[in-house]
Amino acid sequence: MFKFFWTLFYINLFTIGGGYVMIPLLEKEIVERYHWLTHQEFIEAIAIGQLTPGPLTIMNAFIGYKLFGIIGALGATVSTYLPSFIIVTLISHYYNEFRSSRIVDSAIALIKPAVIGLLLSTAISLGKTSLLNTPATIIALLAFILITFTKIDPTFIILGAGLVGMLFF
Amino acid sequence: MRPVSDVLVNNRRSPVSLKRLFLVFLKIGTFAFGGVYSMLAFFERELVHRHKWLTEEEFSEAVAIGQLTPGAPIINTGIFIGFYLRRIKGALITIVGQVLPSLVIVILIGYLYVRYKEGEMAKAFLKGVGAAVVGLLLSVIFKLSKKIFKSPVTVITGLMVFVLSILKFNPIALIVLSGLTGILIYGRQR
Repeated sequence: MFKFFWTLFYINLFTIGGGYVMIPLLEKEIVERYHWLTHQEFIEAIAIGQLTPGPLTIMNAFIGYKLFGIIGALGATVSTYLPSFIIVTLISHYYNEFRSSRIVDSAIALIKPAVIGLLLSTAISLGKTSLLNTPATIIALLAFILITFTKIDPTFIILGAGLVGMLFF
Repeated sequence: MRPVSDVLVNNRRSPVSLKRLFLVFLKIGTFAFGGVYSMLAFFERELVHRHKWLTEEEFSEAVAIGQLTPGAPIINTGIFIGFYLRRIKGALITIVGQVLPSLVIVILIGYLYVRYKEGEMAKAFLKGVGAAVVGLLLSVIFKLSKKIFKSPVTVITGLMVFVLSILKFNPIALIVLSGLTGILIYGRQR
């Protein structure tokens, strides 16, 4: 269990450039390296993270719950937000030095495009798991179109996709 | 732009009470469904316009810090604001307020999930949801690409990382390498 918490801790240290960056990192460590979840379960965890009002990163609490119950959920939450707490507090303290340094800005300028590459590779690997037939592919396409081009909340689109799934599968 | 030290002069009339800070972040954590932008709009409405704890300028600094630090940007923006208003206690309380509602929901869903996921209906539901997640990721990729791929260097970086990631290179190593390359390329220009 502590290995799981430690894994979340360092994954969050490298979640730079947006909350979604965590998805490729989690997939690598939680699914491929330690086999704590299957690909299918991992996809379900992302969906559940998206169903809450908070940040997607709360999906870690779901993974913790699934693996170790309530203690797992609480521990996962602490491991997820502890790095943020330490770093942001430190930075607030050394605020002027941090903001006037060019290093952070220039590192992030290339981390952002890197993140897109990582996400695309993850989307392909997850697609291989969840898009096994035509109805699933149509649901994915519709979700893409609705989330990209309308203002409908992704939470409702994911719930709706679940209901459509109940009709078709 | 004004120097940063001018933006952040904490000359509050009276300090914000921890209880009110907690309640406002609890409200944000409960009702801020949707994407990052709707969440940020919610933040701004509560903190800048309604409670007037921050100026517009201070708020946009907090958003910038959230994006420049590791972790969920929205949480980091909250931590920064909490620390700014009430130091360490404020920072902790904003995390708890923001995360608590979602944590409760996640545990409830987790309980139902563990109990019912083998049922036929639940399986069908999860299949639909799983397909939508791929659509969601593609949408995130699409929106980010429009915003970020603005120079040849960024496009090449994105493509190279994609290929290396397909070839099973470690994503953390790829993030670190891209960051270092960024420092090499942009770090010296002024």
